Amino acid sequence: MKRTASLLMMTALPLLITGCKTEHTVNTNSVVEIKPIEIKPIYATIDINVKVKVDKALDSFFDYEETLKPAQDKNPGLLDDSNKGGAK
Amino acid sequence: MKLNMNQTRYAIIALFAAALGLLLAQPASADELGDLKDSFKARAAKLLELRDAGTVGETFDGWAALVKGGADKAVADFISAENADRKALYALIAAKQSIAADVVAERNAIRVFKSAAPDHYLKTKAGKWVQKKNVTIDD
Repeated sequence: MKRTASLLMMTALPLLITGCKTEHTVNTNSVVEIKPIEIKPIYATIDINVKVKVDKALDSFFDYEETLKPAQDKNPGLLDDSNKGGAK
Repeated sequence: MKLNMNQTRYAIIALFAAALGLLLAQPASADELGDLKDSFKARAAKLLELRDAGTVGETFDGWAALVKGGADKAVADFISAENADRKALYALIAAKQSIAADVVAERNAIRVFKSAAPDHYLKTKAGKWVQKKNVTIDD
């Protein structure tokens, strides 16, 4: 009798343990969207500032050229900034 | 961290040395610019003469160059000296502005193109020599 009871216990115990076990699986899927940082205007600003600074430095360095230059630059139409598609 | 007497002394000396270095570095750059300017000035009249004659032109990327091949050694040396000084100048300005020397060279090319006489030669990106009167400049 005792033997039967212990055998029953041995069989029932694992079943009870596994039967009581609960398992929860939560599947999460997160999508983090990173928008590109708008840096173009910043670069544009730096670019313009650098251009201005460099142009100033060059103009200041070559200021003596004014005295050498003949009256040569009388064709501003060709130098208009809006006149695109040029030599560069 | 506590410094002992000797360490404090060394730290003070190091600080003074660094400050002195900074003080000396500034005029060195200014001197360099001044020397360069004198060098450019000394060549300016001759450069203009060579440009007027159509012997020397300016490239889109900021250098003086021979328009037609086969120049004598004096002209070739002249161009080399001019470009060596330009290289130094571009590097100095670029370092001051923390940009690439190429950018300064390009800005100088635009400056020179603008102030060129109608008959002066300019070399385009396509490698073609053109007279200023026949070209437009894109700034």
